[in-house]
Amino acid sequence: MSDTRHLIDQLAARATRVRPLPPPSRRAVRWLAFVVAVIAAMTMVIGPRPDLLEAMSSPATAIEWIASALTGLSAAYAVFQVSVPGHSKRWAWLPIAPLAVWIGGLGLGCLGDWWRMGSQAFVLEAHGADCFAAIVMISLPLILILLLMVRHAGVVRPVPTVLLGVLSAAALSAAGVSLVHRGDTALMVLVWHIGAIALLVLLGALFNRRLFAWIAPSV
Amino acid sequence: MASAQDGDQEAYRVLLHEITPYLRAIARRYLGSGDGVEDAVQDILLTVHGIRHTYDRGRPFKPWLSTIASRRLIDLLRGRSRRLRHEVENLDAESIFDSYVIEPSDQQPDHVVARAQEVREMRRAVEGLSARQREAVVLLRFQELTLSEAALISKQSIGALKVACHRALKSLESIVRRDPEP
Repeated sequence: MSDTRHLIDQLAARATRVRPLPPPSRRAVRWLAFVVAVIAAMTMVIGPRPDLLEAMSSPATAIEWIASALTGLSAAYAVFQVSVPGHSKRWAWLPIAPLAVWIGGLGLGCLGDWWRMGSQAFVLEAHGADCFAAIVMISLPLILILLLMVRHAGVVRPVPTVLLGVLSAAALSAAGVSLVHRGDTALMVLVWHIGAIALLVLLGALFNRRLFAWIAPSV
Repeated sequence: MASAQDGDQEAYRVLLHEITPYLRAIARRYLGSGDGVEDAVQDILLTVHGIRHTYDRGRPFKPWLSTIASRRLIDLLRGRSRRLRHEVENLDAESIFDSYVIEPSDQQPDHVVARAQEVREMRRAVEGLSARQREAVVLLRFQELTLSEAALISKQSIGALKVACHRALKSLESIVRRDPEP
């Protein structure tokens, strides 16, 4: 116990002024502004897909795109909530509804394609892997920056923080890639877009502690 | 805590002293009353210090502190479970037996021969236990863990552990009973 008293005295002697974290909403807005800037830059460099306006005029495609962006937005807000000790863990459920609408919309899209195109709707073409690679490549730096912003969560709630962070970055990347990559069948989007997100989330689930240990070894 | 965030060292020192009994109580709830409690309290205090900027002044202090404390204690428990599990997995029948065999006090030749026979039989008995029975005996009898701790480490249900331990001890007991007392 005398060791504990000694430790307290040492900690108190080192207690310099610290800046409290800004509210989750303000931090989420900063992060989203950065993501929007990255996606806007990518869209300008590569150029929007030629059929973008036509595709977005279809309610189903527009709803899917909005749901993917909302998944990313809500997951980002949830990250900044659950990563703070004392805030409710229930925020982690926030992105579930838009994610369900997005995946459900793609599922319905598969059925629609099958009705329209027959067995051609289920052909998986290799060029769809470009989307997969693009989502992964854009997501990785975004994930690292987001986790850097919530590095204190490594000792508090590493698992939900990483999973939500990965979901946010990957869903927003997928929404961004949809702006530049020409439309495919719903199955292609389901496999390559959701597949990329699932892979990243799985890696996040496996390596969350190591990731935090690497990003913030001193916390 | 708000004063501590502003750099008031005395307020921070008082706060840390005041929360220590609470942290000690919560650590005892997770870890029992063993040696690890004080280490756990210090670990939590270090974590509190490292992330004191995450305290939100508009919210109550206790949920913030208890989230940190319970998370650190769960991590410490997991680390302890991993270490114990590793030890159990690396124990073979021989090492269990060698660790707990009691050497005879008298060295008369007939007793030494009898003891050697007993040692061989006991070793065979320990080797004859299934991996689950051996694990149950090690965790519950040698490591003296509670049933729930042993269940967590061995990933067996409490009922399965009880049965495995009971059968293992029966098997070992039958060997000992066969040994006539001089």
